[in-house]
Amino acid sequence: MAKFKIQDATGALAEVDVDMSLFRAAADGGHAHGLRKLDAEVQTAPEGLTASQQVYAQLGLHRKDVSFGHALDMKGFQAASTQDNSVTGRLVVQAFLMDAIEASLRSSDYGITGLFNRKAAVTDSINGTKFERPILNFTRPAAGRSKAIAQLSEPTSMLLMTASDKSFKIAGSSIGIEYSDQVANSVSLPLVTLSMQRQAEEEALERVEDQLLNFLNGDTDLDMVALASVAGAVKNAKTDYDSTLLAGALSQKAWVGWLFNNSRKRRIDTVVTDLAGALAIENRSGRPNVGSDNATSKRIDTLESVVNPTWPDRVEVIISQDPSWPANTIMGFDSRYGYHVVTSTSMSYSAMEEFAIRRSTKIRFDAGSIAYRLYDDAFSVLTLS
Amino acid sequence: MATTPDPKADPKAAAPKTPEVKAQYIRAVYGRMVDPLTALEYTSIPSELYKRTSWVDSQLEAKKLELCDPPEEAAA
Repeated sequence: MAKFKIQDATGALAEVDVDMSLFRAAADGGHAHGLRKLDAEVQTAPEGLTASQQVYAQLGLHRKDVSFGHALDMKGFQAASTQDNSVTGRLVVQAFLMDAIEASLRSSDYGITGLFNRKAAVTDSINGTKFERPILNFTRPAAGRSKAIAQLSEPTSMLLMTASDKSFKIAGSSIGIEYSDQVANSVSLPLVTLSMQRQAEEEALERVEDQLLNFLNGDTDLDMVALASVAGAVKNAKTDYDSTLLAGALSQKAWVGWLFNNSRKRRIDTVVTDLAGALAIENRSGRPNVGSDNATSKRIDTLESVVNPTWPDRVEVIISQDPSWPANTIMGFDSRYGYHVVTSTSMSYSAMEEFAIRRSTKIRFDAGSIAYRLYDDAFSVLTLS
Repeated sequence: MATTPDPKADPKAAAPKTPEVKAQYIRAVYGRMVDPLTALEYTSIPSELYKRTSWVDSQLEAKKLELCDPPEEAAA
């Protein structure tokens, strides 16, 4: 156990115990780790350090030269009341590594986890690994329109919401690190953090690309059919919009036609495709440009302006590097209604065990989430073949 | 003038022989793929190519799908 001093929003110093009981209570309360519980409970100044950052700072974890073993054993920590520094040090270092990995996934060049969550219509965290998917039935409202009714009558059009009969398990993925006692004293904490961040980034990128591909191909584990099986979801640039197109090419007519299609129900603001698909969008023929236009010429002309556009000013393109992403295939969705991400906080588990005989230590971090299409109508596929 | 067909004549013998269409087999090179035009699914296990759509041609050209030999049980 170790006592840390935390400065709250009023400037007062509060003394908090950081020990196993804090981390156990955090797990019970659905927090990823113990210091997140402190963050939730201790209100700090908005422009200042959070409670967890203050704990990290008191341990000197922000220093670039701090060795891993030094951090784990809290050798840099000077406080009046400390018992068994080793346990607290290990708990805090785990939390630090977890936060560093998460921050990296949110803000690195890829930032893929942050991007994926930002594009989600809904993100939920559940304290458990079993998830009951809501079934949204739009058959009745889609078949008719709301209309005037007599007093005390039931409305003619109602959305039906039921829970799935099947519960889905949120499978987890783990990342681990094992280090010998000898290396702990020589390797620095930033190096360990960097190594884990790199691995986690690669994994997160693959996982997100896999989930995006599942939106297209379907996932039987989540009762999600392929978009090919959704009526009207697939359009072909040549046969549906522009008969002059060759395979792999796109024109302004086909692009806008696809964005416009079904736009009473959704507005495509994000597309996922491979690099060749992204280049086809950029190099589409007939794309408006003002390079040869003289806006000041005295000519007989009127400039038209669509006052009710059903396409956004900017369509964001996510380029998938998944080799299984099909060529000449663009999947678009309306990020307001597109997909639902469910994260299991109980999977955000970290554990550390010491192998006394092997003179080594292992740390593992588990994370689990699922994503599924919330409304099939929010998605559409454009093939360029 | 129309002629009445000879009832004893064998219609099969008279019909021109059409070449037998040999089934083609296909498999996904990297992972599962679903043809958005037909909803047919392709995996790394060779399966019979039921319909060669323009999308399949694109994937063959991009080497994401490949034509292959039939699996052993189909060949036997």
